[in-house]
Amino acid sequence: MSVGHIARAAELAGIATVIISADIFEQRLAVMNPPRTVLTPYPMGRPLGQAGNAAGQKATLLAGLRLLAEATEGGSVLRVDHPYC
Amino acid sequence: MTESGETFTQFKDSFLYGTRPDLNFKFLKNLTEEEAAVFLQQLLHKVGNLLDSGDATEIINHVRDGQRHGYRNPTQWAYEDKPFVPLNKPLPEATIGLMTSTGHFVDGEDPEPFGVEAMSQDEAVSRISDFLRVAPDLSRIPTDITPEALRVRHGGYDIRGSLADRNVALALDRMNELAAEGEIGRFANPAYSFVGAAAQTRLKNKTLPEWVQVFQEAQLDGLILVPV
Repeated sequence: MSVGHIARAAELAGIATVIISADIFEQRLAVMNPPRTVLTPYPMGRPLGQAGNAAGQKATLLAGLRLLAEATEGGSVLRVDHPYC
Repeated sequence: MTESGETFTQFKDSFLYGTRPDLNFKFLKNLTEEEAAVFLQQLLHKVGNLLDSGDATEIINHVRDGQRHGYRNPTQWAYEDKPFVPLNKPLPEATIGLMTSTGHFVDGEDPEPFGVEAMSQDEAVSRISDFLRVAPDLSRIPTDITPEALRVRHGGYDIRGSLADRNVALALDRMNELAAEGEIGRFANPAYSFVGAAAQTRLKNKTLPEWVQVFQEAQLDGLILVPV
């Protein structure tokens, strides 16, 4: 999981990070202990929501931004359940 | 075994860069014969339901559940420590970057992997093992780029969602909206993309020190990372 490595390196350089991923990769990400992770219940290749679902995509991004701002420790995980369609 | 001599195991494995490459269903190779048989039987049953309901939701959820099961085993990359820094300013004042592993690039700025001009998506799929042996290239994506000027190519996932709407992962439009609405101080320009199917050790040792410097020069306060 490339983004796990990137998140860790950026964080060590003082840049706060959040990964927003389809939860199909939950186990692969979890063992990397990334600083912050938002998990979405969507299919591979569409982690922010269905094509054309602008409201859902924005809601997912907002969840990521909230976690970026409010997390207090590494390994923070947030699950979102906005409908895919 | 079929009349052609193909076993069910060979059939289910053929979706992973085999005779029937399909990146949505390559996970079938990670399932046992019994698991794959149950997945396919249930998929067909739900297709039958769709004929009457007209609602594909349970099919979408079934595919996602199958993918989740197929990718349930962790990779070798495991860490005990948990690096963490808080966001150093409120979101409405923060500069937020976006990076995706989707393989997007600007038309005219093709990274030309392995020196191949205008590599097709099909060739990228067929050469996935080559991509996994090299460090990824960083593509800079202007945040005001038109959809017509954006390209995507990645041999590791089904790019049809990204072709239909870049915002399924590379959410340029949504991030621009969030900046305009004041949810964040600034959407850092450019955004970044690369092909996530890459040599992970080379990414860590060679690429990341350079990329972190790029992030620092862009004065990012926060970075959203979106894998596919």
